[in-house]
Amino acid sequence: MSDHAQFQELIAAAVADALTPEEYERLEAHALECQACATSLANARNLSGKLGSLFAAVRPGPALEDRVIQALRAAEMRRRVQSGWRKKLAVGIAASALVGLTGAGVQRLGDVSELPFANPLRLLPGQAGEAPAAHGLGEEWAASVAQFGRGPVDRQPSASGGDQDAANMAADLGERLRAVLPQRGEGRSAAAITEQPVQQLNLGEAPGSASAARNAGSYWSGFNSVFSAPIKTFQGSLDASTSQSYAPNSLVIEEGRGSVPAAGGRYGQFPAQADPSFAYVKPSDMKPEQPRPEAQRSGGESGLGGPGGKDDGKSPLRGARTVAEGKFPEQLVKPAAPAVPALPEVPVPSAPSKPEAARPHKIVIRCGEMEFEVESFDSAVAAVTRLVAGIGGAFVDTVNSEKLANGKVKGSVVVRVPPDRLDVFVLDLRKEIGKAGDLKGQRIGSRDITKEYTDLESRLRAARAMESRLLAMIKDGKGEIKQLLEAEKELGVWRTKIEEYEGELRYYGNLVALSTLTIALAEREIRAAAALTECERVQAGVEVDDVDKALQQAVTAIAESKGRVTKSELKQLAAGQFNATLNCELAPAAAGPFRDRLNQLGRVARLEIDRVQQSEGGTFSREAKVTRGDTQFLVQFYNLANVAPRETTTLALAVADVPAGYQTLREAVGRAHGRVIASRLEEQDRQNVTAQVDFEVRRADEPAVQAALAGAGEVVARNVTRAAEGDNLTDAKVLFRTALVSAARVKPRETVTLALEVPDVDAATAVLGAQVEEAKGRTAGAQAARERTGRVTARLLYDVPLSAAPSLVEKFKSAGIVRVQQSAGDPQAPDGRFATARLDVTLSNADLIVAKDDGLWPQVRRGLSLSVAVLLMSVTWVVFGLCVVLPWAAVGYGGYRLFRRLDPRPVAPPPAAGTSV
Amino acid sequence: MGETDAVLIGRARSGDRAACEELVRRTSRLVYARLYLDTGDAHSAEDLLQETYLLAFRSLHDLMDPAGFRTWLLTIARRAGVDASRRDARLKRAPPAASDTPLSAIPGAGPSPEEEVQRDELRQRVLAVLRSLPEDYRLPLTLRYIVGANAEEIGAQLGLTNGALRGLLHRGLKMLRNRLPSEFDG
Repeated sequence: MSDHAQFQELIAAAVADALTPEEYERLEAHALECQACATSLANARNLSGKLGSLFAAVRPGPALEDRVIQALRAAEMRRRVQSGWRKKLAVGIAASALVGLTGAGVQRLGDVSELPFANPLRLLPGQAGEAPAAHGLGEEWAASVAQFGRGPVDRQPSASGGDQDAANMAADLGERLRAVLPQRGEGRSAAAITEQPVQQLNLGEAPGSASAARNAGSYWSGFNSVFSAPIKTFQGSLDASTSQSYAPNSLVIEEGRGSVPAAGGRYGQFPAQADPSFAYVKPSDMKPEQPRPEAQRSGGESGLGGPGGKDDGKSPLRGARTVAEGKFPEQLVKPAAPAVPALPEVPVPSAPSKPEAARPHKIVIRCGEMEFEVESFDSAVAAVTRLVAGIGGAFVDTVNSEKLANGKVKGSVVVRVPPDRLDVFVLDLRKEIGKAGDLKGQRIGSRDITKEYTDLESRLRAARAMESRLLAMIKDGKGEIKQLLEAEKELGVWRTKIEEYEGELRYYGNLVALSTLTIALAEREIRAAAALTECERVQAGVEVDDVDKALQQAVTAIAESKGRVTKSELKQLAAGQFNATLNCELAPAAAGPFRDRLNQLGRVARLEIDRVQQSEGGTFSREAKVTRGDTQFLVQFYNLANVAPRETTTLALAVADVPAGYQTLREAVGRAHGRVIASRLEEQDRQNVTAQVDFEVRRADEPAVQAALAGAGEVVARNVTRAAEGDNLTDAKVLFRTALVSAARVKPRETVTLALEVPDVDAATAVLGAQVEEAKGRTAGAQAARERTGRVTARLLYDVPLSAAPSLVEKFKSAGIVRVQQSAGDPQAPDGRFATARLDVTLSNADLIVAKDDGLWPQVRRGLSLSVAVLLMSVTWVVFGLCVVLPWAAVGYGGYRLFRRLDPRPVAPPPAAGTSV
Repeated sequence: MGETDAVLIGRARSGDRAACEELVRRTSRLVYARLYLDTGDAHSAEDLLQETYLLAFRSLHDLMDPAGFRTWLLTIARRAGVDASRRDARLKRAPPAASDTPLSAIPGAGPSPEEEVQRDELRQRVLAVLRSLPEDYRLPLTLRYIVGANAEEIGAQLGLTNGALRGLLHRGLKMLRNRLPSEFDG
């Protein structure tokens, strides 16, 4: 290719900007030299420019691809939206079902209170005042809540009456609330108490249900104080009980004592704060060590009831404390020696005085009972007194004694012992009294009275407050005389209450300070019996023939031996049965002869002899003298008519003639004086005549009956049963149950099957029948069949005596050609006189060569009929096709064509070699 | 460029959207050119272009040989064009939708109506000439002048090398010049 031609070709590329810069420069250079190329280039540029400007308006622009892609994406989204709704629906249904199931499960769990939050949910504060709504709690709690809720309502009229009543009510409310709290605590687990009651009470109940108390104005804060105290003391005691498994006695006293100043201190402090949320105390804040110094401190600061303050003689625990101080000075040191006297920092901002409320204390009463059996009461009491004297602070409280009818002394000793010495004392006591006596029982128990005690304290405080209030009112002297008088009256009431409370507290204090041990002592019983009587009792059952006569003879015998008949009766029952009962008492010496006499009267079937010893006046001892009492006889006489025999023989008897055998048997039984119980002869079916005879004979007559049976026929089955020995069974007679069967019905002992081919079946049948008749056999069955082919078959069944069978078989075999011969024996079938053999003979003649329906013509006939049948069937199918298949085929084809026309999918062209683009 | 067409088609078959989009970028101007040649109208060509790709990606699994992708795509485009013209023919039987404002009442923003009609006429004539060219020559020319692609783009759209393209352009341009009416000369 010349340069020029090459450049000519480059021109088009240059116009299309397909040249590299170097190529373009070379083309430009060439155009300067070559005129033709320059013209061509100019023309091409001109054309290109014109074409470009012509189509500039319709060019798609640079965003064509983006527009196409956007359209594609939109189409895809549409399709997804269209196809996605089913999936979304399914997901939606599944999600709904899941949510529903989860909800149902949670509800169910909540219903059965399996979830830990099931109860708190029901303890919503708003429900506290409504008794019916509190159904989820324990009954006790519900009752107390109801009471609490009713409290303000009941008191509503009096609350509006005046300050006095309002204060009264506030105190009352506090008491009720206090009563509620420990109860609830007892009814539930410790874990539940620590959070739920406190929370609920403080956040919900206190502000909500005490709305009546709010009317009382200035008493609100006072109410708060009494209200909070039980909560906290309760909390404290709870902590103590969970942290200490066994509270030592010293601690008990110390805590009981310490709680008074603590409570007093709180009482002095709390009115200053009226925040209803102050009482929320987390259980974790309740550390037993924290509150002690605090309690001391606040007790000292407060002017009420502190140990260092003015003790006006009304301190509830004064008695208890004096006892404790007097006798156990070392225990008093404990509360006064806290390691850290400073107030510990408690990180609860809303309750600055909380820790002192957490003071743990526990008031426990210990008491016990012991029971001893001793040789001598007096020496045991002396031992107890000696032991008590050795223990400081212990003393013998009461000694009771009582003399019993047998001259022995029984009584009890009540001893008061310091609780810490109780266990030692009990051990000593056991050792000491155990030397000469036995410990019968012991019970040492503790009772936690912290709740009662704290309640009493709180009531006392409230009453004191009331008293001082009333005193102030009287001192002021404002108001009318009438009102003052009323106040005086009220003061009297409250003072009485205060004294009651104080008395109770003193009582508790006493109980706590000294444990009570009750020792019951009893002298050992005398063991000696006054007299022993030995009696013999004979029970006998006698089988006799004549009951009446036997009874008469027995009574005569009793009279002879100077006995005493206590009871005698004779009964006649159904079916000739007689029963007689004879009770008598005989001297021991006459008992033996009377028993012999009974043996003579009949057969003694039953005899029981008991020997019983009876003691009088005391327990048995070996030394006691035995006297013999009269022998008691309880005798029964009965005859054998209705007594079941012990032995039963069940027989199957094969006889040649059943009615004759039946008659023979009846006569034989009559001769043997037997008793026929049931007999039956059935002759409805001539082929199957049966008879049944059930009879009883005496044992002595049995051989005669057996002989008669053997004469009547042949025993084919025998079954003898002897029942276990019993009171109402007798061996003196035998029961026979005899079934008579015809000898013809006896199963064949041998079965011979023969198949014979004979020229003439009918003739052969007649011959065989005659032969069987001759051998005294019988024909049991015969059937003959004649087929179209001319084949004749006869099946014959013969029953023949077993002895005649072999010769008959030989005769049969000579009648024709033997095709089959089988013989089978049945060893279970009876052998002997009536044994039979069954001959099963099948006779047939020889087969025809050609069957009647075979041959040429029948074949042609069958062929023709088959062809016509096929032709008719094909006509049926053609009609069917025309009427049913054709329309549907047409519809299907039309649909296919339509589908092809509407389907826009292109058919891929075959890949062209050297693409045409 | 990166991957070859065959790889992209394989990925597109397995549902890779990015591969589909890349294929669109590589071939859309070619298809557009072809459609514009068939219809002579830019808007309908673009509509048909979208329809073509929709059909193509829906039936991408029917494509036997990835090497024949462009040919196959153009076949689809032609069928789409045929279907569209058939549909238009049916629509024409129905009366045109009534418009509130007659189009004649809207003043034109571009050149005057007479001029526009002339240019349109000229365009149709050029198109007629282009249609008469052999397929191998007219596609590069259509891409060059109607779609306004440069040589590199034409090569990418047709899947050809620069050298092959030069030859096609050269012979196509010569044929075009010979057949074009006289006013394009000089």
